[in-house]
This record gives sequence, structure tokens and C-alpha cells, in this order.
Amino acid sequence: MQEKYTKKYKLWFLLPSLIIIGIFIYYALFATFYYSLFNWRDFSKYKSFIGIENYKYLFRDISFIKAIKNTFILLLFAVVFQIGIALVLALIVDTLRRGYKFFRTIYLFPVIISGSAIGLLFYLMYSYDYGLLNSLLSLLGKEKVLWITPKTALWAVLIPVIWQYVGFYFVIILSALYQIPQSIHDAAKIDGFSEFKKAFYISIPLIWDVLAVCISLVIIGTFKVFDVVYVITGGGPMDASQVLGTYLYTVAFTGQNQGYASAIGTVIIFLGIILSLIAQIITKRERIIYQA
Amino acid sequence: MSFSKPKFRTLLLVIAVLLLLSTFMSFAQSTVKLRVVTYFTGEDPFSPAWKEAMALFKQKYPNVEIIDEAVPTANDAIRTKVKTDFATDNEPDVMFFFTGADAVPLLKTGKVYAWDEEIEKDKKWSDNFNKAALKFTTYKGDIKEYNGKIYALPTIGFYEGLFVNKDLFEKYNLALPTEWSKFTKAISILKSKNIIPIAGSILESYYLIETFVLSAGGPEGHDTPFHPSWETGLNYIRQVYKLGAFPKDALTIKDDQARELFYTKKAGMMVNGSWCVGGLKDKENTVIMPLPVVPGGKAHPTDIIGGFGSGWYVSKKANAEKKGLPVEFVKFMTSPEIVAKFVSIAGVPAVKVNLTGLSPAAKSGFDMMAKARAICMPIDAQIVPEAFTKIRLGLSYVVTGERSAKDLLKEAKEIHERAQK
Repeated sequence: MQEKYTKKYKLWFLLPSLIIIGIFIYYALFATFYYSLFNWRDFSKYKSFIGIENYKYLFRDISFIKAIKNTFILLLFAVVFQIGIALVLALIVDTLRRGYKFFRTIYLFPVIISGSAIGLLFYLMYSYDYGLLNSLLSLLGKEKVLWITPKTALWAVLIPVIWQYVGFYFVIILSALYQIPQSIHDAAKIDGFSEFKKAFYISIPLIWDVLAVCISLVIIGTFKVFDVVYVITGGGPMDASQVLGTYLYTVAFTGQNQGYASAIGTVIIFLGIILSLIAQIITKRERIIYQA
Repeated sequence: MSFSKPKFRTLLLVIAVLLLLSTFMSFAQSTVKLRVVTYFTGEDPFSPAWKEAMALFKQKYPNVEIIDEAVPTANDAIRTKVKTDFATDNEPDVMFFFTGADAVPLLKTGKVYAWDEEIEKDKKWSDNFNKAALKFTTYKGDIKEYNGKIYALPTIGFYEGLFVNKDLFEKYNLALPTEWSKFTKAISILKSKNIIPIAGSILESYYLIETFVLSAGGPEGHDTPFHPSWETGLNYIRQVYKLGAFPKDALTIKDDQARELFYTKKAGMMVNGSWCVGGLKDKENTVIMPLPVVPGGKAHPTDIIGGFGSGWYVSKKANAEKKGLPVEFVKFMTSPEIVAKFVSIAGVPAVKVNLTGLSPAAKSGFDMMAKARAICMPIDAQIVPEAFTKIRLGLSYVVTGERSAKDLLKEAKEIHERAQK
């Protein structure tokens, strides 16, 4: 009887968040798909049904194709470098007996800065006329460099995007590493494992499920990248740094075509789900339970 | 503590009397709220005049509280704000917003107040309006309710042209760029002197596109969506870009940064609009003139882009509910005294005002507008925003030779036609 009541209360407590998520996430998702089937502009009350026309146009839209390509490049680099750097840093900090709190705080810090602020920071660094990098070059008596060009723009935005979230994954991985019982490390030490071998054969396999979650988070996060890129380059020049998030914004708010923007939004959601599922399948391994 | 019945009744009576009194008091001092949306934010050059105008209105109508919902034009924030407000039945009581293509979705809702009746009724006020200015805000189209009606009242007009730092031209013995050959010569000389010839942004190339297309196609070509002269105009921008006329970072620089290059004399020329006059640091040595006609161009040398691209709108519903206060507010804002305050900063007036103490820069802008044979509204008032955005953002492909102007315009035309379906 008591259990029945407890279950009832649990459901009541879960209900408000379910309603909020239902309205602001799931309803919004379905509404986005619904609007993508319409010619809807200027946030008008009037829209006309056009079926899959918006989706057909995606294949002819050079900017969208570039945005997809750039998002995938960003994704690849984010997975490799955000998780790679975070893993290396966490493995090193995990070996420290003192001072690890200092590194944890330092590396986590960029995560708490807003994307717009980071974007502005890098925008001011890259600026041709009064940017930090060119000021340093001028001090050294060198010629000013045009940092953002069609060839370099994507790399220019990749750096802050990666830098921003390394700390986030670093903390997650470090927390997972702390869960590994000391006795396993001690056993490895007795067996004469080097730090490198210990990382590869003990630490990484033992935290593999956490790394898999991190990969899924990176994939989802990359499809949401907007603020940093928008502030630094706005997706330009010549769509060189255009990503799906910035292109959606341009179509919806500058182009005032909300129907087509909804189609882009639907593609973002769809790709995010598909790729996360693929990542989960690829990274699926038997879970290792720590036993001291 | 306990109350006896009579005591309790007395207490209730006292509370009721107090409540009644406070209600009367609040009615006596009641303020009427007026929600006003403009783009006169802190960064807008007209912001000081707007604040002063609001203060003067409050002096005249102390019971009116103005809820100032100013939204910047940057990133099209005001477009999104106004259009979503109208779509969600949350339209402001009064707003100062773009006219032309941007007005159409608002008029479709049927919520916009038409001014014709008031203009007829109050001749003393309406006679101040320049009749030609009112034509810019008279709707002509398929929405029957508004066809031939004045849906917004213009106050500040604008022009676009070539701003020239005259002192730099004098320093390097250059003739003012009244002709194409003088223009290209100035580009090459200024470049050789390490002066940026044209402070222009390819990223935010609104004014470059409009002025070059007008120069190439004349008013007829400019005002005909996707006329062949549009391609010529874009190709001339490319030609000027190839001459190295723009800043090195023209593909990424924003318009306000480009303006700063001109203001600080790092650049010799700038293609921009009358709103820049307020920001000029040297108003004595700045000349504003039409962009010279490109070789083979159809424009008359005095043809310019300009007009009245914004106006005061009133909500039909709010005006009825607030007993004409929104209309009164706009009449106050369009009075010659108030308009003079705005125009003293920049722009040209839509009403008859006495302008004194104009700077040489502002005067040259006025002269340019007064002498204009034709004044054309910008391209973005003629085609759907998405198509214009495609042209604007695609210009970087054209100037760098990655894509032809013809191809870009073909895609933009497709977008425009798709939107009309």
C-alpha cells in the first residue's frame, strides 16, 4: 500500500517537468516539422501548404550544402579534439596527487563563459585593423595578416568551439577516472605498467561507457553550434564557416523565411538523432564493473 | 484577540471605504500606457532626439506613460519583433517601422490604422506634409482594405550616395569623383597613398548593391526586379573590388566598422546613407554626391537611392481603445518642431520645417536630394527579404570570381518567385 502511494507521488512530481518538456521541446519539434511543409514567411499568420518543396530546395541550396559539409568537419574535429584533449588532460591530472583542483577549475572555466562572449573575444583577436593578433605582429614589425579568409574561416571558428568545451568533457572524464578503484592502479603498478600502458589498457577501457556518452554529447552539441560562429564570422565569408545553426538563423531572421528554416531545423534534429544512435552503436561495448 | 460582531462590521466598513477611496484616487491619477516600438535604441544616432521628443510629449500629456520598446535594426531584430507581435495579436499601439515590402505582412492582418481620414480632418497638421513623401507610404497592391491608403506617416527621409573626404582629395590633388574616370583615378591614387579608397563592406553591401544597380540600369532598370542591369551593377562592384578599392577585410568587415574607417580618414570615400551624417567627425570636409554613372549606365548623373523608408504606424484596435491617443502621439511626433529635432541629426524631413545651422555635409546631402531627377526606393523594398539576402551574402562570391553575377541573380530570382506562389 505504502509503495503504491509512493509511486503515485513520484508520478505527481514527474508530471510538471513532463508537461514543460512536452510543450517546449516535443510540441516545438513536431511544430517545426509541420511548419517545414509550408511556404511561411514574415512570421505571418498566413501560410500555404507546399509539401516537401522546402526539403527539395535543400539539395539545390549551395549555402545549405556548405553548411552541412562544414558541420560535419566541425563534428569530426570536435569529437577528435574536444574528447581527445579532454581525455589526455584528465589522464594527466588524474595522476597528480596535489594541485588537481587547480587544473580542474582552470580547464572548466571556458565552459562558464557564454558563447557570445567567447565569440567576441576571438572576433577581437582576429580583427584585421585592431585585433590582438595583428597588434602583436605590428609590435614585432611584421605585416598585418588577414586572419579570416574563405580558406581560413572554418579553422578560425573551430579553435574557440573546441576550446570552449574541452573543460566540460575534461571534468566528466576526470570524474569517471576517479571512480576507478585505487587497487586496480596499484595492481598495474606492481605488474610494471607504464603510465601510457595503464591509460590504454586500464583507464580508457574502464571509462569507455563515459567516453561513449561524451561522444553522443559532442555530436548533439555540434549540431547546436551557433553563437560562437555567428559572432566571429556570421557564417562567412562566402559561407566558408557556415554551419547549420547559423544558416538556420540567417534564413529565419534575415531572410524571413520561417518555412524553409523549419525544414533546416528538422534536418538538424534528424541528423542529430541519427548520428547519436550510430555513435551509440559503434561505441557499444560490454560494460566493465569495477571490482577491487 | 477577538472581535465582537459590531466591531467586525465597523472594521469591514472602514476597509470598504478605504478601498473605494483608493480606487477613486487611482482613477483620478490614472495613467494611460502607450506601447511604442521604434528602432531608436541607444546606439541609433536619432536616440537623443527621440528621448527629447518623448520628454516633451510627457510634459504635454502627464497622464500618459510611454513604454519605450526600442529594438535595434541590427540582425533584423526589429523586423522579427514587429512581425511576431502582429502575428500573435500583440501589436504595439504605435511604432516607427520600415515601409514598402516590410509593410505588406502587417497590412495583411488588417490591424493597421489608415491615416487618410485624419489627414482630411486635420488640415492644419496634415498640410505640413510633403505630398511626395506621403506617396512612399501609400499602399498599392492586392490588399483591398488598404489599396490607395496611407498606412504610415513618414518623418525622416533618407538618401544614399557617395560620401567623399574632400580634404583627402585636395591633399592628393584629386578631382571630386563626379565621373567614372575620376572615380577610378581616385581609387588608384588613394590606394597608392595607402588610403583605403572606399570604406565598404561586402558582407553588409546593401548600399553598394543599390547604388551600383541604379547607376547601371537607371530608375527603370533598378525598379524592375531582376532586370539585366542588375547583373551589370554587380559586375561593376566586382570590377571596383578587383581594383583594390575596398578594405582588405571587406568580405568580413561590418558596415559600422567600414564607416569608422571613413570617419577617421583612413578611407577616402564611402557608399552609404544619410543616417551616417550624424556620426561624421568632420562635417566641414565631407561632400555627399551621387555615385558616378558606370560606363554605359542608364542613370542620369543626379539619380539617387532615397525616399521615406520608415514611418509611424498606429494600431487600429489600440487607437479605438485608447480614444485616439496613439494618433495624437504620432501627430505630436510628426509636428514640424519635433521633426526638426530629428532632421538636425540626419536625413531629410517629410514635413515643412525650418532648418537652420546645417553642417556643410548635411547641406550637400540635401542639395543632392533636391537636384535628383529620380529618387528610387532601395532594392530590398522591392523583392522578398530572402532573395535580397541571397544577393547580399552572395556578392562575396561574385567579387572574388567564385560565382557569376548572372548565376547568383538567377538563384535569387527563383527564391523571389517561389515566395510569390
